[in-house]
Amino acid sequence: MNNPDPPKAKLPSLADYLVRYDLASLLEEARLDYNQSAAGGPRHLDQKDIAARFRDARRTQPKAPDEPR
Amino acid sequence: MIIQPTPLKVLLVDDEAYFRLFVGKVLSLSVNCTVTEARNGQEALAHCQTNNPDLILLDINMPQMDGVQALPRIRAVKIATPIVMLTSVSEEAVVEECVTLGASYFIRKDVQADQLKAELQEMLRMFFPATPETNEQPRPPQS
Repeated sequence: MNNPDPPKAKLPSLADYLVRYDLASLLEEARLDYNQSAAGGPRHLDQKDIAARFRDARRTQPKAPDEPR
Repeated sequence: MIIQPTPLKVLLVDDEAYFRLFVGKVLSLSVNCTVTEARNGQEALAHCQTNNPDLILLDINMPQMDGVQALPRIRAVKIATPIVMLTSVSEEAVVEECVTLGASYFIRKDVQADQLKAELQEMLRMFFPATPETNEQPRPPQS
């Protein structure tokens, strides 16, 4: 009795060796990983944040002599 | 325009002449004031020792004595005067240091001219709110 040849595995093509990267998601990951604070650089505040700091400081400190007239 | 019964004496401390010119114009169009200019912390401190400004606008990056060095020294002389940092420095640590050293407020100057003008005017309203009486427009004569 002749055994039929086992089915031959499909030969890999060059396409099988290619690693496909999702560039959009890589870019997004990089953006999240390398923000200002993660990179160790100083954090910069915008005017709104700065104003909030001074508001908070005024609230927590005893009434300063230079409180707005 | 905020109407003050007596002109505010403003000390404007910045090493950049064109910036002093711009801020001086904005101030004089916004409030009744006289603006004195200083080019660094040392000149500002010397001015404060012999004069009594109502408001001090203080840059940070300046030669000889910078704004962070000058701030506590000026504060020691002028305990009650609003000192507003007006600078392109926006690092959180520097802002916190200025709060600790006694700055009254902090305005970033590295913004569009219109935005800076609005921030300066907001700051003036904050520290020198015009009373309703002085802010009234003169009434036209009745016939």
